[in-house]
Amino acid sequence: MIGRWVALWDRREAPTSLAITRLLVGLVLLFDLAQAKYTHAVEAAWSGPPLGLAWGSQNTPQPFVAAWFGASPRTAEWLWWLALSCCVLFLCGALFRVSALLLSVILFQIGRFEPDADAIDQLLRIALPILALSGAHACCSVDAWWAHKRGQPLCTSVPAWPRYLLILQLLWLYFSAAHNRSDAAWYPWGGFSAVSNVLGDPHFARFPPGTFQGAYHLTQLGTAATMLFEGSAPLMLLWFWRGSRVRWVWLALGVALHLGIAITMQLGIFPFGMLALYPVFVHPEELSNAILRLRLRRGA
Amino acid sequence: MKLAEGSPLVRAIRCFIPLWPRARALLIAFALVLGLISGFPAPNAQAVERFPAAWRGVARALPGVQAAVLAPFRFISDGCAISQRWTLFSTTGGIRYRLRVEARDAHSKHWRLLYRAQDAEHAFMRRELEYRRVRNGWNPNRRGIKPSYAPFSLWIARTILAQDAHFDRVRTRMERVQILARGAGIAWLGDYAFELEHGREVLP
Repeated sequence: MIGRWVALWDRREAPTSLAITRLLVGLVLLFDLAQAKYTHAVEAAWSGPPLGLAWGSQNTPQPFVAAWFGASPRTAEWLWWLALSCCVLFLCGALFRVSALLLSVILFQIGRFEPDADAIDQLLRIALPILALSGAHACCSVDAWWAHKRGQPLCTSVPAWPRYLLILQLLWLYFSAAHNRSDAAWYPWGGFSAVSNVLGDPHFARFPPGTFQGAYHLTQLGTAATMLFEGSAPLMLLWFWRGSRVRWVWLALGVALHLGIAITMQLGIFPFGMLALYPVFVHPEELSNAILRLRLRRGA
Repeated sequence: MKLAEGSPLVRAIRCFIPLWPRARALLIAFALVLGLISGFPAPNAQAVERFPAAWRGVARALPGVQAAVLAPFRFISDGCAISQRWTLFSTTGGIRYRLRVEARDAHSKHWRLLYRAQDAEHAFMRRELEYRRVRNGWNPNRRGIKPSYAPFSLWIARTILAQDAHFDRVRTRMERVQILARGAGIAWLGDYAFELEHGREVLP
């Protein structure tokens, strides 16, 4: 049993899935940082009161950035530039471990500045250090290109454990979200009205409340599908183990759920940040087989 | 710098390398157990009342046990601002809120609506206010208003008063709205909540 556990976490695989995850997570983070700048929200979000909303910067003990440099608009601006630089390096896979670890530390600090931040921020704060320790830069990266240029052999296998950990994290997030819902609206006895309710919330809805009244039954179906999807997340482990095709249905449901959220609600990077981590669900071998099949089809 | 072949550090590293897979597997197992304990759903007081009498004591003790076990590792969750309890849309429907930002004309003493959530006609600083990190500051969560709401109110008041000398006061408050059944939209309940008001004294 112990031997199998050790062997499981000692497995190696091609770096493709993790590299794609790195690229997508990097893009999402870059977009979020660019949006913060574009909306002139950098100073507001990361300066301490009365200059901004970052009340967490006054907590005891203070986040070290606030303690050393003060939670001022200037520090916020400086933090943003540093996060942006690290994010670009992370995305390109340049000086990967250093840039990824530094980006993680910046995200931890930002997280302490705004303790009420979105779930996606928390998820990325967990995912990023795992990616930093992975071989996500072993392909499609500046580091890999540089190593190749210096005559080093291409890295064809990296440890698989970071991908496994990210899979477990995503499955737990969904399952935890499902079992933390005490609101009857998510269940049959509440009429499966939760999605319809959320689509009417003036702070989140993309369309005016009442827009989806004609599609109420569809929203009920959406609620039931969401609970089924999230509640069944632990079964994915079984489906993975048995190589069952049901997992593709589950993944398709997840993609549909997040795209639905992106279209109907204003939740910032949440749906895209979640989807950016989905490549970890695909084994690199499956990925290369799919690419090969596509190439053969094009050739034919 | 190259370490000598027989140096104690090189020997120590050589001894440790074969052990690394086991150490890593142990560390991962430990992290998973801590994560599960951190994410284990401790029932709230209302839920505990619905439990069978025999289980209520256990359920009440659970958060304390959880906190005690996790106490030595709090520096990780606090420092990294992470936890494993995920509450996404745990409450929906019922009473919701709609933010209003209003400013008072210094001469006429009339309040003017500058911003209202999901109101295209009153969209002052909309891009900024609706950016997710700023919205997080003012959007109430399932427990009510957040600690960031007061700093938000102060910040927006300072911003408006500094920009426009015609205004002498700024207030933020939320329309209380009821989510109607079967997706019929929302209805204003006729009152407001979480009202905060600031005058020019908040300017430096």
